[in-house]
Amino acid sequence: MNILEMYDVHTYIAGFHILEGVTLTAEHSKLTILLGRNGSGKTTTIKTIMGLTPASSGEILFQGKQIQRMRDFEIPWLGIAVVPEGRDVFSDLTVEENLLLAVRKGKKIKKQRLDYILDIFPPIKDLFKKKGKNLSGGEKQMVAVARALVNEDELLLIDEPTKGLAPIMVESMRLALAEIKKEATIILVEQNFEFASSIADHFFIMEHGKVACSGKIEDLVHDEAIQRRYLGV
Amino acid sequence: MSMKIYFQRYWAGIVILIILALLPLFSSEYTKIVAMQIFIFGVFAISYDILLGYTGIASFGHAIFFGTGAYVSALMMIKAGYSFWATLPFVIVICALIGLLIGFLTLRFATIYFTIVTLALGQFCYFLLTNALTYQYTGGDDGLHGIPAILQTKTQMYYLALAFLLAMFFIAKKIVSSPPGKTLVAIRENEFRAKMIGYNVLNYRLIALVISGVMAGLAGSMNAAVLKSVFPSFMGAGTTIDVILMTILGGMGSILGPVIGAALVIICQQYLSSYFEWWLMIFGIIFVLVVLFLPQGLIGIFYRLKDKNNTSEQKLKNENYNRFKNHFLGKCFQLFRRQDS
Repeated sequence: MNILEMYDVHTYIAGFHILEGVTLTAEHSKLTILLGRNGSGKTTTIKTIMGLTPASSGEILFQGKQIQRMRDFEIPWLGIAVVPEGRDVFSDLTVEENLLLAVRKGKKIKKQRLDYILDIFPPIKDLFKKKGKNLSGGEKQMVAVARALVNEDELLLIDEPTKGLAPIMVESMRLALAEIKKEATIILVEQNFEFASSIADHFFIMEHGKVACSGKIEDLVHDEAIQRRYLGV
Repeated sequence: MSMKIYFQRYWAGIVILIILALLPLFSSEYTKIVAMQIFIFGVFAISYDILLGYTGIASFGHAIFFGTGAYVSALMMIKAGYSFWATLPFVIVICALIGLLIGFLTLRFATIYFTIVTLALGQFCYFLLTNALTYQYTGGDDGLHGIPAILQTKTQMYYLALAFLLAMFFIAKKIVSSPPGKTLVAIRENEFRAKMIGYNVLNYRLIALVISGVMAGLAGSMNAAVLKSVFPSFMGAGTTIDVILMTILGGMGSILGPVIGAALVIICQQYLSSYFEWWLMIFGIIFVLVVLFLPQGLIGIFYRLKDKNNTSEQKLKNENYNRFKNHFLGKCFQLFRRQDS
């Protein structure tokens, strides 16, 4: 079953045609990865799903329901969480406030949910009272992913979680995503092919605002011709 | 919290409060009036801080609310014989409606457009007051005079204004430290991120504008009651610029800072102007020095004393503050850039 489907989605930003007919599907409880060079439209795809750069034509279905006409702040309420690129946690708020801000139902994070988050990211426990601006890059990334986990959302959109992280942090992020994958569907934007191929199930390669090719990740790992052509590995 | 810890933490505030409480016993009438102006403009600056410091919206027409509050109270008291207290609910409702109206018209756009439109609206309201058509109601350039006194003595009035400032100070503190207040800070920092976690940014900004407007309106009413007259300059661009100066000088995003800023600006206005003809130049130098050396405003001195042991954190704070300011200025410049391309 597909949790998210996009059919021929076109998006314009400031008059520029960015997405030129994106068609992709994400299977339920699988990890789907968007690959592609800089400027190929990966981040715009995420933003279009969230309604921040609304699609001008085409269809976006979440659990079979059309969402491309909904307003940007309504979309998260359907059960979609985002970890944006650049991992900006709110710098003037503490880690605790950052997490609480994302809670949609009630005023607190549910006990078992908090345990789940601390299980995945144990270091967060000691950061609770620290302000966002005093965190290291790796810590910020942890908080950004944790913030997307406070509601039991079905779909997580994660934009380049390993960008600018030390190798040891990349490894712990890989373990974390492998853990999160057990409970939620993930769509991951990633440039680091090695990282991506180790956890993904399906892939979509984007080029010039379109999906150039797609399939199972095993096929891509063995097909060096495609890797060279689209990813320049 | 035990009494002792409480005192240790807030001793400076408690000492200042005691001094303020005793001040009218040994001060001249003139000093009392200056102090009342500080209290009232302190509230006005707090209201502006909620808008600029916490929500990150720069309004250049905030005097609209201040002037509306003053004129509504004055008109109702003089022409219709209402008591001062009976006018306050009207002030609250009218200012809230104006806030909603301005917000609906302008908050949809990026910050810089909001700034320009509020400037225009402010000037529009000012000319509305001084227009010949409205002269019979508003008294034109002369303003309205002869508002009945609401309390017998200046000293009583002084305590009322002080209580007003304290009440508004604690209400504002409560608002900005509540979860919705934190949401405002989040929206100021990154509107898109706030949307991505499901917040209706427009509604939050509207609420901030309404709260801020009502607070400014009440400050205006209070000013009318203290001065027993109102002038169109209450609604003029000069008043807006004063409140912006107070907020930035004192330190935005701190609630206490703008009150300190209000004290400095009004003391300079009242006392420097009687000694120096060119007092504005001296004031300008003070302003430049503060912006250069205390990027967090005067309240930054207190932060510095507090975090003496933790200089790295202080550096980070300054850096972030600058980033925020650059961010706003950056938005201004974007306007020009867009026209270039």
